[in-house]
Amino acid sequence: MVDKEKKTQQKQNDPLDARRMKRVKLERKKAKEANLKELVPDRFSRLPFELLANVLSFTGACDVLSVARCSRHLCGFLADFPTSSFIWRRARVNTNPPIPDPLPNLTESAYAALLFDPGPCEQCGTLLRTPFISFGLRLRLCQEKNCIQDWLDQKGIGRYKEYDGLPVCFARIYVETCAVRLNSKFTTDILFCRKSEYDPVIRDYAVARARGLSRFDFERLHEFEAEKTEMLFAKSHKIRRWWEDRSYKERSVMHENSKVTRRFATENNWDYWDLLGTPTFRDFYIMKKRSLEEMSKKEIYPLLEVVRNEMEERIGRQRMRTEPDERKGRMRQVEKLYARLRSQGSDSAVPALSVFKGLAVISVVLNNRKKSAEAAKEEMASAPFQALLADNLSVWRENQQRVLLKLIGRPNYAHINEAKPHPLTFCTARFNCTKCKDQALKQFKPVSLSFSDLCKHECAGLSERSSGTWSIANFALDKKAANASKALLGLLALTEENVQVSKVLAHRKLLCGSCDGMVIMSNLRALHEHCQRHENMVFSLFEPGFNMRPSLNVGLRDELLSRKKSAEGTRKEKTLGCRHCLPSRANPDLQHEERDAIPDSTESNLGNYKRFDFDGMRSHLMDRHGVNYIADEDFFRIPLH
Amino acid sequence: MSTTEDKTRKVKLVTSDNEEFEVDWEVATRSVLIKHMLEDIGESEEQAIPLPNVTANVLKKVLEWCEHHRKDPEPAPESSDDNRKRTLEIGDWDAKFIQVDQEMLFEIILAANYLDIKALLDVGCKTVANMIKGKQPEEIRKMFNIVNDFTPEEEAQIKKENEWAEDR
Repeated sequence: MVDKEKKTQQKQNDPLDARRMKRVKLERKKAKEANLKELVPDRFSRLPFELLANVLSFTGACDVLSVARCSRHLCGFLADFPTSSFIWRRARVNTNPPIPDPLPNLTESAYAALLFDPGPCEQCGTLLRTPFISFGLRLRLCQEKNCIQDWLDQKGIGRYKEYDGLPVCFARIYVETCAVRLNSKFTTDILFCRKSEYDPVIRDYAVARARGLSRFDFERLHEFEAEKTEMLFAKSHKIRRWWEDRSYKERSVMHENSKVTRRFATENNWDYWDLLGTPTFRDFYIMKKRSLEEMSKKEIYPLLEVVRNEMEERIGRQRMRTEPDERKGRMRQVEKLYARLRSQGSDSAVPALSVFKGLAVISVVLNNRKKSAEAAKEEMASAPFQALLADNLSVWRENQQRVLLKLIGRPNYAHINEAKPHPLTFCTARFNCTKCKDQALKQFKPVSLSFSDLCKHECAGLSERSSGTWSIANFALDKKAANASKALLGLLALTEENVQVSKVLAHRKLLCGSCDGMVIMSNLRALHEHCQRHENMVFSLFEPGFNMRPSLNVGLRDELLSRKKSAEGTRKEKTLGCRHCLPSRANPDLQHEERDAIPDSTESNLGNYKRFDFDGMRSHLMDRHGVNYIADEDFFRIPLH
Repeated sequence: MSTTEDKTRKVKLVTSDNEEFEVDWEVATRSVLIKHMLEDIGESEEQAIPLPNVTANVLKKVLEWCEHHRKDPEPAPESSDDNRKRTLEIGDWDAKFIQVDQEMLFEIILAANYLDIKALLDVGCKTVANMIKGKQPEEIRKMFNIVNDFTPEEEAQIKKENEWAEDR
């Protein structure tokens, strides 16, 4: 028990053993799972022995060897079961060319393994698929490298028929002629053996000579070994001849099959390599190559239909592989065109990119598989295309306008007079995206959208894929912004049609009456965004030329939220003051919690304001004033002097 | 040798799932087993021959083969000459006939073996041999759903050359 634990511990400590154990567990699990699956039960292994033998009587030695290596059961049947040798004998006969009888010191299965198994080069360890260069010595060496010479120098003895003076038995027992294999290196026959076998013989011979034994007697003593070696040598020679015949046959079959394949590919207008890549034909080709059989038309043509389908699939896949690159090129050109349209700042609204790509004229370019990026660029620059695009955009815009006009309560409006502004350009025509309003607030993005904003709107916080689903149905009338705009128009005594609202507001500021302190909005956009905080926002106008102290810092929030390194430092500076904490001009009697700390808002006293860094300011606004999403109007930068 | 009377005779076969097939004598006697049984029971036409190792759907398939090969000559007795190479060629009709799923293929082989229909057994075995031909162990395992139950050590040992050599 203790020993067992010790062994387990040792195995766990040894990385190689641990890996083996892991593999065993995995294999067992796989086998268990496979047994559980039982989708196609293993009927082959369950065949009675005589039927298995009958099946294998039609196959070659290589195939029987493969079957034997499938599982322990089959291995037991074919390798360990002595009566199975008739299967191997039959398989040798079926092999092309038939394999000669085995070496007498080998079983049939071992003989097959000896012939067909790859093995490492004895000198450099490279795995070789070539046979032994000496079957007698079981010696496998690389042909290409200097392994033969190195082996002879280090582990072998090689002599060019110069074994005179050595006992004859040495030559007969241990030396093998290997001229055929070594001809590339040596011009004459070379006789060689392993040093480890040579040295003891020489030692024995020296001892025998010392004892006064004649050479003749010594040779007689080793007569049995000599005969055995002679027989092995003869067999090895036969095997070598067989292997050479097989190699020759292999080359000729490969050449012939390659020719047939090329012809078959040409006849069907296929690429040779593509044809070899189809699963059916590849398997067939490999099977023929391994069994050293030449392909015939009779065998190939039944495969034609299946191969044709596979070729079509393959060509389709190839097209799919190259298509995305071409499509990407076309897409880049479309995106450039879109960017140009956006940068032109044309008064007409441009749709979101996802919508733009869906326009008929654009999608034709995008989906034209035959069109290169360059051709797409040229086409998009042409006058007819531009005219078509303008037409497409105009139709799209009209469709959206029709829906939005219903939202603003003018379903029957027809825009006949081009000189007049369209109702959707009025400051009262504001919309919210119902899909991403909350997310947009969190990301400090505008939530109140004009018609042109709405057209190019891309939902905040959504993936590229899901934001692609732009729909006019996602938008609703922004009542708060619309009411605020109406109230502003009332204060300014202007009508909706007056496009000068923004310009008028450029000189006058708005004070929020619904917020504490001095929350001042500098423009219409700020008003539209700020009004989202209140149900019914009340605000008043500052007179033109009013000296705003502390002054408004338009864009300060975005500057501080920026990912720039400089912004990181600025965020930490305690230079920000809260506008909600300032005494209100509109209501000077307003009670402030921090009134004592902030006595008044005059420039001389600005140094007395409670100072916050940016994060502190956000926390303060949230805790004290219920402002979840900070905006420029909520805070100010306290001047240094 | 079959007589004219034999050719008009009908033979009743009962499968393991108790389905009865009535076939021509000439078709049924493609099976050596049935032929011997018929010889044993003599002229009795009414007596059905039980085939407890064959199911109806397999027998149907086997009889389809026998029907097609009813006129074929009697197979030559098995040669003891082991030195002849056995070919894997299958006739066109047989190749089409044997295009069935693996389950049915092995059932046909077992049935042909049981019914002693040498030619059909060879067709089945040749088909399986064709499936094995030129394949690597992993491919054969995948094809027949054979579980690789070798441990890594055994697998490594197998991969080593001359693993099964008795001695050097």
